[in-house]
Amino acid sequence: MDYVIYIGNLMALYATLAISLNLLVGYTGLISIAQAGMYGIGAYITALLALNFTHDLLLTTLLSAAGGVAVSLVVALPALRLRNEYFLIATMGFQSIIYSLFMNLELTGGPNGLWGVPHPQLFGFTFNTSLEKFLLAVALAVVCYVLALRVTRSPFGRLLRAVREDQTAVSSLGKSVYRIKFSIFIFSAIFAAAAGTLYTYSITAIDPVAFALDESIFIITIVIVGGTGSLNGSVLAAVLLILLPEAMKFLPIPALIAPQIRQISYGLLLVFFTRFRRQGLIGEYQDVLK
Amino acid sequence: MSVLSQFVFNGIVAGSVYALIALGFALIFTASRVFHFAHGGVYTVSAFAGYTVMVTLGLGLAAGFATAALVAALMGVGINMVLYEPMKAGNVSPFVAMISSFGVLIILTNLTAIVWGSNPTVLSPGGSATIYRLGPIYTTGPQLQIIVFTVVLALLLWVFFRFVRLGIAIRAMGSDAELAEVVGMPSRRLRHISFIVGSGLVGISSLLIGLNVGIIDFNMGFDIMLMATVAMIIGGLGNVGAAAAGGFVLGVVQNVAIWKIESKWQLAISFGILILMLLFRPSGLFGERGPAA
Amino acid sequence: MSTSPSSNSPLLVLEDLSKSFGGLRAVHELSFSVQAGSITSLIGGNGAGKTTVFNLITGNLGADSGHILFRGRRIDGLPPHKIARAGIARSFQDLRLFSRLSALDNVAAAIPQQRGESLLASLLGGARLKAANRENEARARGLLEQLTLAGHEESLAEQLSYGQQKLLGLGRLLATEGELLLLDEPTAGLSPGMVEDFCGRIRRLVDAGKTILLIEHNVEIVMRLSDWVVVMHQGEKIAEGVPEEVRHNVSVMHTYLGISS
Repeated sequence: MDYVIYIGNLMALYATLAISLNLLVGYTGLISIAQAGMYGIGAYITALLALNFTHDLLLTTLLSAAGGVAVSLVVALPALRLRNEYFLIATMGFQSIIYSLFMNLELTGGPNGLWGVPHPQLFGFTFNTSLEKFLLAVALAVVCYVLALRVTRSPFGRLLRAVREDQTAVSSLGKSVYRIKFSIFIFSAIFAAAAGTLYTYSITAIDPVAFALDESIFIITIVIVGGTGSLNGSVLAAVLLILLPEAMKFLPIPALIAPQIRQISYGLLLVFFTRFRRQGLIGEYQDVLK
Repeated sequence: MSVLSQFVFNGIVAGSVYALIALGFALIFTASRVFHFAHGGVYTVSAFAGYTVMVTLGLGLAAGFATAALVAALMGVGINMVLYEPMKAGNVSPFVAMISSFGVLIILTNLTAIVWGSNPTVLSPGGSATIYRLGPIYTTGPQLQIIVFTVVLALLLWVFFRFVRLGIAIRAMGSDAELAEVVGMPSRRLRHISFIVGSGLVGISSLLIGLNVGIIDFNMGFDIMLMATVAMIIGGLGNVGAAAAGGFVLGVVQNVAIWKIESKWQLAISFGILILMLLFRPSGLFGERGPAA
Repeated sequence: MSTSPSSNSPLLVLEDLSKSFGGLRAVHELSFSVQAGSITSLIGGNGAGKTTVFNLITGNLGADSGHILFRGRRIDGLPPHKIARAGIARSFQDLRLFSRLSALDNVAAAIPQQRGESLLASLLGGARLKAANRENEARARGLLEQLTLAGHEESLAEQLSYGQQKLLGLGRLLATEGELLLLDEPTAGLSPGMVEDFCGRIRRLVDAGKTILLIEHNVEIVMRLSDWVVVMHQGEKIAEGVPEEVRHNVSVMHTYLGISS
């Protein structure tokens, strides 16, 4: 039973990660490969706080989000000046730097990471069962979804999509493209970091591998499979892609190569959807990635 | 002083490795304008294919290199045929090709782990080559081979793109694909050739580097891809010689840096350089044109 | 309307503006001014540097030397969005519509200083935001209606006909409430009937207090609409004056009119 709840927990966390990345990729046309890095920042800040200072849920979430904002500032200031493929490459660079920090700093415990994170507390209540933690993850996903919906349906959301279509035209209308991109980049990082907080509390032990480049690619795979520019698609794909390896357990695959088979199927999905179905499962547009 | 010169020399050795990989990567980019991240996966698979022929089957060095080159060339051109060309024909943005390429890299990496296992594989037994001394510098045979091979290859490619009709055509096509189409260049075929040559080169390089390092590992494609990207951006886009030069610069900077900074920060330093280059010198150190900001 | 431009104050002044690309002199020591409430046309053959002038004015390109003054204040060196906010709106030769946004969104996006335009405001929501959004949408609908695009509000820009797209581009331009409108070949590619329609619209815009700087290839239209004509050739100004003067200027006949008509 606990395992089923854990899978549900992962679905909720990846839904949050995918929604927040979709705001960049699908709505604004910013193909970021640094989402796992932002996720990791939240996770590590939470682990460090909980191990050393406080495991108050609200406080750790807020401070992790603040860390996400700080790091996204460092990433955004240079990266957002670049267009197209060069933005992608710059975020890939930052992703690798962040990973290298996790891997090599003494503070983050190097390759072994950090473990023994205590259960989070909120107003005297301790979330110590996996069900309670699952509910937290669902709550975060719901908040993220609702706010993202609000953002995309607002005049600001209209500007996001306008930036995706034609940046020069947006600036000719008196709107600062940089401000628009900057705002959404930070918003996205806040939710990725918050997802990191809940991830840390869920599994109580973290290591750098969970926040590596291939993790960023996995998150973008969810966005593309679900459909760029579709929040519902991101939720649906998060659920399906987390379920996929579970479903494959019914197949006669040797346990030894199961992780590789999982990675290969994700890779195949990514290739299939980019090649044959670029609107994703329920996306609006064929070619959002412009 | 002799310590520094050793670091610089180590940098040149590492740099020639990066340059070798960047050569094929840049050749492919020059022709097709695709950031072919799957190049790292091609590198990995061809190294293991070479290993199988050379070590497992014991067919010798030449057969190993031939296999690696052949396997790599077939994979490269296959990926182009199945993925990039249809995308190009469908006017799909280069972003999509980039992301797709990541997918291929993941597939190849994990296939390698299934076929050859996920433990590091020893390619050259013993691993300890004879050490030579050149003035203040210590080096080994394989190191010298790599440097010489890289420099010769870079020069050959440079000549190819400057003076050989086919090379000039590929370069022209890369800088203006539409025009090339209009004047009736066989663009598709030229791109196929570039994938065959670029990938074949990385196949040879993979075995050469594997012999130098002694060990190959299913997971090495990611780092290879990252270093090729960094080298090409440092050198300058759309110019094979510049990318190779970028590889040397990267290797030297990394190794001179660890004179003062711990070696575990090498990767972070490389990406720091990447970001600085993108910001302040997007056309690269030796390139002609770069990303318009 | 047809009064001599010198009786008004110049809204836009270009002083010794130069821009080269590599070795190519796209614009060279160009000076002219645009009087408030006038239609000024920029003419010249292909490659004369007209669109470069637009890009310099709007800040999409930085000038190598020279100044640009708008309402007496220097705007050269400002980023494009600040120049647009100061009151200069432009259209593009290739339209640059937001292809996969609805016609309504194309126009609504251009309305200045919207309450819900910042991330924070859109997150906070609230009744006032909703009211403001409704108001802006109504304005956008009104503009679409004026441009005979009523009924196409929800169509994606890319689904409209070319003529409709040009109208939509004009709608987006007007929604910015810019005082000076830079129009880059507004009638190119249109049917004769629509050309007439556009000319009427342009004239009515001036009557409503706008100032227009126009790039136009159709000499007939230039002569009919303009209060002032600036002729460019290879990046330099070779003549300027009221349309009649320019028409009789032999060098103009030679370098421009002779070639393109």
